[in-house]
Amino acid sequence: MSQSFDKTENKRYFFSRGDIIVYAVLLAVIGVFTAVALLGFNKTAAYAVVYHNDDTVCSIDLTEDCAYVYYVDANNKAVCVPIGTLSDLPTSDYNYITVLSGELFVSSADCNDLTCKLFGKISKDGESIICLPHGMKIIVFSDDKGLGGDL
Amino acid sequence: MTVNSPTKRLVVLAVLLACSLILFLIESLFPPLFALAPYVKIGLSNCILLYVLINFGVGEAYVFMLAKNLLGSLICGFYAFPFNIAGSFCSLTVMCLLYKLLYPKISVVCISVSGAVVSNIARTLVAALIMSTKGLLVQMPIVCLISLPAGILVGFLTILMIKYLPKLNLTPKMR
Repeated sequence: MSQSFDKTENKRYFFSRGDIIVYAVLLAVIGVFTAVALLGFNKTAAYAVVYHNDDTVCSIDLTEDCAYVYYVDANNKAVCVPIGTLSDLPTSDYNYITVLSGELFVSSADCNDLTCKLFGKISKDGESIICLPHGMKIIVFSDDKGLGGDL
Repeated sequence: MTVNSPTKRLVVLAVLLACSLILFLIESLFPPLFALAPYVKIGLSNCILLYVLINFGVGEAYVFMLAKNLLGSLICGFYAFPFNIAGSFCSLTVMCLLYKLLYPKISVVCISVSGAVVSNIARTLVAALIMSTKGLLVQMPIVCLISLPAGILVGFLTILMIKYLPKLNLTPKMR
């Protein structure tokens, strides 16, 4: 069942001298990504844009605390409005979006994976929240043009 | 056990594919490693992919990878298919190159770590492309750092498999 596994083999499996070069390359890659992240994504966002399948649905001001609801209506049109403006809240295909102290997060949703809630709070330029089941994407932007734009 | 006949190879690959899918399913039950990037994974099933690469060869490894992702998507849903296929393809390509060109100058753990890092970079790039959001690139440093221990874990699991599973038709390099 098991085989002999001598010390020479152990060394070859776990560590070889050549590993140092590969690890150095990987660390260099991480360093480049870190530099890009630190230089390009440290601006505080001022507003958020909500998209439905790449179509803009609405813009949200991050300086005012408010709760919004995003849903797809009977005409298959995406809507995102402050909760207070609705008389009847949607019962399916919704995401509740909360803005609190300049941070935006999805507080509740009925999508099947709830990944959008796991994104947590976003507030830096270019950060995003994505809900694939509902086709929703939220990106926050600073006032000046940062790295939050489209690819 | 030697695996020389095509039928035996097919049977062993099918059993390994089933094991890989079980690992894939188990991993999907756990919460994401990094909340802001839920598509980033440890990639436990990659230990079996690396095992297949070492014991069966490059061609079988690519077929195995494709089958694993297609069957995994049938079970877990196709939302994650672009992430999984991109991550697996890039990871396997890098692991194949490193294994064919540099092994045994580099270790199995090193091959695994490289595969894990490339896999999660590919997943993040696919997410940025699908969502048209380059802001996701800010997650790259953390994604890479998470990939390092994930790759080490997968590498150790692969070594355990090589060590304790019945001997297959091992390549001369691994004997």
